Amino acid sequence: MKAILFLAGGVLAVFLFLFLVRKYVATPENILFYSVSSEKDLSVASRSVTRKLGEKGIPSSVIEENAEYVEILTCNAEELSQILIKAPFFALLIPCKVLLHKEEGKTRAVMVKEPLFIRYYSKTLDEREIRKIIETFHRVRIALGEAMR
Amino acid sequence: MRGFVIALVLTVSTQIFAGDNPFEVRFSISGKFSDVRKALSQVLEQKGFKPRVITIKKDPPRLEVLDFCDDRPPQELPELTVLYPCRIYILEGERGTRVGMINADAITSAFRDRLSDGTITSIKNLAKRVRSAIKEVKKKWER
Repeated sequence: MKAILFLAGGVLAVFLFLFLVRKYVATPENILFYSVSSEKDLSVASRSVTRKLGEKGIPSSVIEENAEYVEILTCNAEELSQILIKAPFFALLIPCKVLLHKEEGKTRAVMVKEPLFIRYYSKTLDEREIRKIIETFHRVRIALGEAMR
Repeated sequence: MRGFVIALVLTVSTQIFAGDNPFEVRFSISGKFSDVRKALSQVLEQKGFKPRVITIKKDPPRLEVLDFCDDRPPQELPELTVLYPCRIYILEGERGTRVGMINADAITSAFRDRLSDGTITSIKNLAKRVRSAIKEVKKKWER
């Protein structure tokens, strides 16, 4: 009897864990987007981001700028051209688009996260190629994090 | 901790679910790369888009991206704008050209609970216009 209760408790705990992960951690927003907020106003944040990307040798260009939001195109797609012809889907994400927008008195920078998409190409791309894609996004995330401080 | 859980879930799921990417819609067009690219730009312009050409690989197999996003980010979920179906890739193939775009249905389904009906309709309409432009170009080489 004790063993059955122990087993049932274990199964319940696993389901509860999965439920909580799905509800609070693995939400579509958390899985698909990276975001960072700042007290800086939109134009200052935008300048900080482009300057920081430049300092890190990552090309960037502002493609849309208005009072509400700024869109920046970044990541060097040419560097990844051999990978992108094997998995051209990533050309829909690279050059990476960074959106800066106002939210509750702050400025928020968002961009796509790559892990979910990478899983579909684990057989098409080798480990080195996957690492290179991850590094490309990671470098931009680091720059955004530093610029928005 | 949160990062670790996501990494763990993704690592395990990578091995289990590697397969077709539901976030992509692909088209095969039998025309040559440069002809298809030119035709796509023209048709997109006719449909009111202003495509920006981004060259990723100049030598064969050539790869270019047409980016034509000019929609305002949706108020309820502004980040979604970075995944809008307003970018297509054009890849030179041995026997034609491959074109791909984001699958708007996959995106809107993932965020159904967060988006208003108006936003869902506007994203789907955008994707429909882009898809019809690609299909129009595809037809040219099927005649």
